[in-house]
Amino acid sequence: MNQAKIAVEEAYKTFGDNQVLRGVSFDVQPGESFALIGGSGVGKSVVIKSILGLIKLDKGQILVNGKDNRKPNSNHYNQMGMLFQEGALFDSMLVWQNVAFRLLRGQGRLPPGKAKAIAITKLERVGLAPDVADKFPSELSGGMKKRVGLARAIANDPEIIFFDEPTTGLDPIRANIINKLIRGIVTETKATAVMITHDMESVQTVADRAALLYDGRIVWLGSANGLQQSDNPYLNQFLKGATSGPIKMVV
Amino acid sequence: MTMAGNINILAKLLATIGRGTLRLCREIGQFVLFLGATFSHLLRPPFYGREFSMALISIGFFSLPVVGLTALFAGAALALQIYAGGSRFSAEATVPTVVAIGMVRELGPVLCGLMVAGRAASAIAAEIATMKVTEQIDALVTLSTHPLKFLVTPRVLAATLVLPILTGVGDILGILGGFLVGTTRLNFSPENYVRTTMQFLEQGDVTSGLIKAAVFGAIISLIGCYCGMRSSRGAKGVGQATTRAVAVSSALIIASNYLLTELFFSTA
Repeated sequence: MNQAKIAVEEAYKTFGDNQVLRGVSFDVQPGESFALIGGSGVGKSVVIKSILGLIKLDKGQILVNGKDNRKPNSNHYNQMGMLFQEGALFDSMLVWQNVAFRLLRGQGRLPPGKAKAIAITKLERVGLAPDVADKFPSELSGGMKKRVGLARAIANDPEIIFFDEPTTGLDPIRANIINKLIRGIVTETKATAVMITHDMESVQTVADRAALLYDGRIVWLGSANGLQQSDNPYLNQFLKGATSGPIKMVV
Repeated sequence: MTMAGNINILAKLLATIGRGTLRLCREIGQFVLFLGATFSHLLRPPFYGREFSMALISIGFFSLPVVGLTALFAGAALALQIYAGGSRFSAEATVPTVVAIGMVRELGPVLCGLMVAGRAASAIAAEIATMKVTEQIDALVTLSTHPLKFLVTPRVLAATLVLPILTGVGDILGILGGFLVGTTRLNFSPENYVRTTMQFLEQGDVTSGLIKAAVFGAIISLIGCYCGMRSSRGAKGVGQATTRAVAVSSALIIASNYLLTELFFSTA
């Protein structure tokens, strides 16, 4: 078996009195698309931010390419791209400057003309016209912002791409378009993908494997194709949206 | 009230004071760490020239109207006050000197600092807090960019450099305000007013005011950035960060002004 691209080992995290993660473990193989699913507030974002190094775990470790991510260097982030839930685009910059952010700064920075050309190519890849490049994020719709965020995430051809609820806030048609776009990009770039979502359409379209997070633990892990056939009570309740079952929701 | 009831109230009071003290200590500790990290980033590349230029324009250029108007009217009012007060002991002739010294030593830097605190500290805190709320700061990290280096150091550098310039402009306009009132309302001849102003104004007066302004610039930008970075999530958090930035930076400007005045002019 290959070395896992990402290995989360016994991750624990507490915020104040709230223990969010209670020993989460899973791994993601190179080139695999992995979806972490679960209800709102179960700690999916905490897991993804811990992998990125934005949140420090209380206990446990996360290996990215076999290296502990507790002291991330610039190379740690250079191999990653992230699509944030609302895009997280920089309001004061034009769309192309957002997409080319990394290309314009740091070691190996490119001249603005070349960086803009690459940004336009990436924008076209996510289905946006070149004239969008010279707009500000405030001039774009929610779906277009997601696409720009996606273009920024893939601007430097990362090995790992993270997707934080990529279809939240979109209508079903646009959500489907984004799902297919993500699938296409992941297949084309052969990148490892980690997605957090509670949209089952996203899981079915994008993921090879999925895990269900509940009460700070992984309660189901398996093939995304086998979601519907599973007899796991947690997964069945989650898929049906049933109010009774092992998953207790505080209303 | 029973003895036990009194002890209970006292215990609650002490607990509240204790919690407040601990919170204050924690806040000071975190600010000192923030300060140390900011200065370490100031000295190390990469340097973001575009962000520095934008901060210069936003903090400096766009503050010019408000600083200029405030200084002009403060100088004019100062001339009237000194004339009215000075006439009680036949010291009306001191108006040009006192206006000039008062402006360059005290009113120029303090008014400029307070005006920029109201304008720029709030804007800095609101911008950074909004970036935090909308995950733009997390996005910066994932794009291999340190938020302190990209957001804080350019603003601190720009504010520290631009406040003395703004204060210089404010000093000139304040003295001009005094001159206009002096020559049109208080019967000073223009030549006499200018001569008296120049005669008693020393280089040390101007330098001390400009050094004060640089310190105020650092305070405004550091507090604005710190409050923005430490803001809690949501619109309420952004609002609180903004209010806090203005209140804390204004109070620190007044307090540090006293300390700097002691340092420069204490004769005791």
